Amino acid sequence: MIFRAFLDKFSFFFWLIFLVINIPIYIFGSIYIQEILKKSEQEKITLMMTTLAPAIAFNISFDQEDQLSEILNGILKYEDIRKINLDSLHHKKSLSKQTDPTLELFKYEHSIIDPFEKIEIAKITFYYSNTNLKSITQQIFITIFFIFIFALIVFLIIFYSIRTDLNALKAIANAMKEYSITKKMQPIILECKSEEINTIANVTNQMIASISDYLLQLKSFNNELQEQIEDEILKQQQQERLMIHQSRQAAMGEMLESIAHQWRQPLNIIGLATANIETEYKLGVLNEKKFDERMEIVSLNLQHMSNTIDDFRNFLNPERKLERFNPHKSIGEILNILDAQFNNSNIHYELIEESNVTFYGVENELKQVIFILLSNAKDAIMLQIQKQKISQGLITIVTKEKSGEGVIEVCDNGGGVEESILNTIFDPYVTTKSNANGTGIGLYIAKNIIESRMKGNLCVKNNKEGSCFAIKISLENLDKKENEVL
Amino acid sequence: MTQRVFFFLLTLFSLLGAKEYDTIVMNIEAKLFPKIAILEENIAHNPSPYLNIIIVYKEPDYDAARNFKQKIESTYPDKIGKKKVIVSLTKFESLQIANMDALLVLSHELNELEMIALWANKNKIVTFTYEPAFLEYGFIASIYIGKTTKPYLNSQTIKKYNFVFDSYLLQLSKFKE
Repeated sequence: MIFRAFLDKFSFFFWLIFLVINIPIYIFGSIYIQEILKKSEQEKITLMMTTLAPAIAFNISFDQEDQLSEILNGILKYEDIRKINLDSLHHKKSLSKQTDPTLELFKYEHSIIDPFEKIEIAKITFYYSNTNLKSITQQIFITIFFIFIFALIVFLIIFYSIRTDLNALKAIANAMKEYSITKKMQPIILECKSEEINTIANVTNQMIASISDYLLQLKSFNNELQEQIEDEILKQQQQERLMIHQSRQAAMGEMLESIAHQWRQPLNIIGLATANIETEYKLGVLNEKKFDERMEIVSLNLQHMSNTIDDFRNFLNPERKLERFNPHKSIGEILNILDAQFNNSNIHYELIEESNVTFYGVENELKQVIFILLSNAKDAIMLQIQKQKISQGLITIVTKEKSGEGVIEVCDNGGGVEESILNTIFDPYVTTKSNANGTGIGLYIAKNIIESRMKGNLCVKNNKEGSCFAIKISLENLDKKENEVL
Repeated sequence: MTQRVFFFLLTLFSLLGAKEYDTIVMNIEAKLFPKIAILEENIAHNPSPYLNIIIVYKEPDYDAARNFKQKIESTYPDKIGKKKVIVSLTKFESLQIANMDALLVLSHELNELEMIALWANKNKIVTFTYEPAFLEYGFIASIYIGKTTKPYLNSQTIKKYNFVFDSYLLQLSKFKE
């Protein structure tokens, strides 16, 4: 235990402090104290002589032999003064005491000045040793040594008296060090008499128990939260699905209108052709050649109508097939569907292919986006025509490649989007149309499809005549995208 | 015959009031008295460059007085401290206060001794007496001859008339209580 006490962490600081204090004292003592004491000794003798010199001078002047001897003997009683020589005209004295011949003696001379004539009447010489000085130095070091021993004893007593408490604190410290919220911890049990340390241990146990309780609660909260989040996500997905469905329904409504427009002309042609056949048949002028001509007209128009239906069917095909496709072609198909409506609404359109680009994804979804953008453009243009702000609509669709991205720009002259809603135009239920015409989910669905499914970006800006929507889809890592599961 | 001569002389001197003065004692006193005088504060602080010592004598002591003068002058031919020692002889009857620092009285007239000591003390003049026993008449200093020879000071007079002597002198002197 004693050995341990000397090596203990606590004792390390003790030794450090002890050495920090004592080493400088020792060095200072060795180097300076002797020098200081030597100087002090010299000053003491000088002071003594300065004090006694007038008395000696008076005694010499008044021939007071006995008193002179008395003074000199008095000086000789001082431990370090070993020999005194007094040399004057009438007095020659030499007093000394037994001295170790090996002892180093220092010499000090002082002139005795006559108190009346102010001339030197004698010279007194002292021979002194530093015995006293050495003794003082020794005493200092002995004192330091005893202080050291005393400090050591005090340290050991303190260590023995607090070792139980220290061990208890160590146990608490170790327990806290090893504590982890992921690990179950045993309560700290101490055999310690200190009320304070027991309080610390108890409070620590309580804290750990509280933390464990809180952790359990937290886990439970987390689980609940997770469930709530999952529910919310599910709801959100359902909502989105519903919105997409609504959007699709709306699109279908518009498509039906488009079909109606698309079919009107061929139906008229077919009607005219068949009406002529019937009339000519009744008149008896229907020959084979004419019949074939009429049937060819009917056949061509039916083919046209059939193609239109195919386009619609392709567009409304619920199958989500991931594939590489040419957006220019997809846009062309949508324009075919809307062509009749555009013509009917006095809207011209241009499809410009600046670069040949290929996208990867579900083609129908891009078509749905293009359809939404074109329908919105058509509605905006029609509103402007109604307001007589423009006489003819113009929609320009450009497909191009820019900075590694495939870009589709859909620009119109429909007056643009109001600046106040430009930043929220893609939020759900935001519409610039009247309540009857717009649901406010078209652009939300469009942005969702571009950003979530095609990993692209859909943005809008106003130009001089109207708005300009841009779809940007990265063309880099197209093969990698091909391997991703959407 | 010798006895007759001795008794004759004794009778003669007694009749004349003369006193025998020991040469050794005179030497010591001649050496010490000026030093004692100059260690008195009033004299020491007196800006005068002279230490005027007056030897007052009665006619029978004239030779002793002259002797004293010569001894002092020979002991201190130049100066003692910063002051030149001037010794003058004065008869008791012609004593005046002018230019006087110290007074050495050579008289054995007891009545006169007391009177002169009182007069000198009142005038702050340091008084010396050849006979230590005469200190009891109010003189300030003499010499003590015992195992060693020391200045002999009258502490009562010093205190009474506020004479201030150098402390070192006081340390080495003997005092008459």
